[in-house]
Order: sequence, then structure tokens, then C-alpha cells
Amino acid sequence: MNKRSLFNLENFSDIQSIFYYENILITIFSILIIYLSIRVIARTKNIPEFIINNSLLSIFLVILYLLLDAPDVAMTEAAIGACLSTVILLESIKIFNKNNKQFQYNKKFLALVFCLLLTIIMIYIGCELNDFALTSKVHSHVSAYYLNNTYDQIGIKSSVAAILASYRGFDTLGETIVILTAGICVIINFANNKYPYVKK
Amino acid sequence: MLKNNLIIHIVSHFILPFMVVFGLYIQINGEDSPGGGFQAGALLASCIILFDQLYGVKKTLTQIKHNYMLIIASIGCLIYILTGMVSFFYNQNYLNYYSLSFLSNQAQKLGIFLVELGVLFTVTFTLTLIYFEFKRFYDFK
Repeated sequence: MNKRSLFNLENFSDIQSIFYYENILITIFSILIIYLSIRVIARTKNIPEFIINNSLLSIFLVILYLLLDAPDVAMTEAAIGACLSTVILLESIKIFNKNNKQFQYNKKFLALVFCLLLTIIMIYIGCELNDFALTSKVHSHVSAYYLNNTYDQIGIKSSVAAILASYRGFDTLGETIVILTAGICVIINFANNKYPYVKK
Repeated sequence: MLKNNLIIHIVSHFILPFMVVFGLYIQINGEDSPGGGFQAGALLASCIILFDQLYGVKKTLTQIKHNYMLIIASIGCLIYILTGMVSFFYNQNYLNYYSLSFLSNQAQKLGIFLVELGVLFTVTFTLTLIYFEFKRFYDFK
């Protein structure tokens, strides 16, 4: 059994195995930033500061999840924690605080330039992803194993159902619990005895 | 609410039982064809919502009491968790379906069936719960 450690080089492909000391530096740097952002989140009374530090925390947690061998968790955290929840929170405070001095931001041209630069960098990385996927070991042997061994080990013709419910059953359990939690949160938000379900 | 559009009202009235049967068909044939718990749950939730649109809130909530929706959703999650725990009695790891039966193929199929059933309950009644929670405030105005 492979021991899962932060710097286990057997799980990395050949390209990444040369970055050994850089991995140590990246972990220490990201842990430092996480610690500082948590300090600010716990003590601030300024709402925009809180929201931006939340997204900063999410971004460096993504890097930590990658180093701990969990790329799918890292993708989910990047999409939901860093991007989606920040946007939803910022849009929602915009409705209630149009004239509040705390939420006015004057450096809009600089923000526009930075966002354009970020999108150009992302597009450049995205064009190279195809070549990266073809050469890495992770993408080629896992799906071949599932397609070849589903009917022998499980007796089902649909590999999708077998992966969802049997090979990766633990992830589906987490997904179901998340759906239930979302329903409970909606009920908690709308809990009010004054409004009946059926009008009398 | 759909009584203003007579054509849609009558057509939906006829198509509703076929929707329910199709949802159950997707759920049961999740092992051989595309489908499973999540898709069937969404379809059955839309059947309940269509019933509510056609006949009003009172008739819907006498058929399914809103107190029971959350309980059934939680029972769905509980079914999933308990099928994982059966393997604890046979000294195996969690969610090991081979403990459910003596034949290995039948054990896997039984495990997958129970798991998808739990997912169906949870998804269906969570979606209808969210719909009725929003509908409370909309109707009250």
C-alpha cells in the first residue's frame, strides 16, 4: 500500500518529480497565508474585507488539496469556494448597501486590467491542457481499468452506474448528504409560523 | 393555476401518469441504461410539482403531508448509510457490497439497487421541499 504523504513522489508524473524542494516551499508559503487570512477573518468588522479574505483562503486551500493528492476536491473548492460563493456574496451585499461608504471602490480601471490579464493567462493554460492530459499517467490507466473490469467484477453493463455506486460509492454518499443539507438550509431560512402552507 | 391555459391543462392532465411511470423506469433500469437515482429523483419531483400546478396546493398537501417530506428525505440518506454498515458485521470495510449475499454478482446488484433507492428518496423530496418553501411566501401576498 502506498503511504500517502505530502511529498510522496511515486504518485507524481515524471514532470513533477523534479519539484521536491519547491513543494516544501509551496506548502510552507500557503500555510502561512492561510494562517494570516484566518486571523483577519476572525477579527474584522468590515464586510468586503471578510469576503475577499474568504476567497483568498479558498485559493490557498486549493493548493494544499493538490499537494495532498486530491485533485477533484481541489477543482470543486476552486469552482465553488473561490469563485461562486464570493460572487454570490458580493452581489447580495450590493443590493442592500448601494450608498454605504464602506462598499465603494474607486480603482475600477486597475481591476479591469487585472481581470483581463487573468483571463488571458487562463486561456493560455487551457490551450495546453490537452497535451498535458495525453502524457500524464493518471488519465490513461484509470479509465481503462474501469472499462475492462466492470463486467467481470460487478456484473453490470453500465460502467457509469458501477463507478457511481460501487467503485466510488463513498463520493456518492457525500453528494447525497450535501443535497439533504441544502434542503435543510432552505427550510431553516424560511422558517416562520406566520405563513401557512395552505391558505385558510 | 394552469386553468387559464386550457390546452396545457388538459394535455398535462393526461401526460402525468406516464411521467411517473417513466421516472420509475429510469430508476429501475439504472444498471443497464443511462439513469439511476439522481435523474429519476428530478423527474419524480417535477411530477409532484406538475400535480401541484394543475390541482392546487390543498389537494397536493393532503396526498403528501409536508411534515413527512423531510422525514422521507432523511430516510433515503439513512438507507444509503446503513447498506454500508452491513459489511461491518462481516469484518469488512465500509460499503463493501460483497457482504450482502453469497453470490458476488447478486451482491453487487443488490447493493447498487439499495443505494440508488436511497438517492431517489432524498433527491425527490428535497426538490419538492424547496419548491413548497418558496411557494409559501409567493402565495401569501
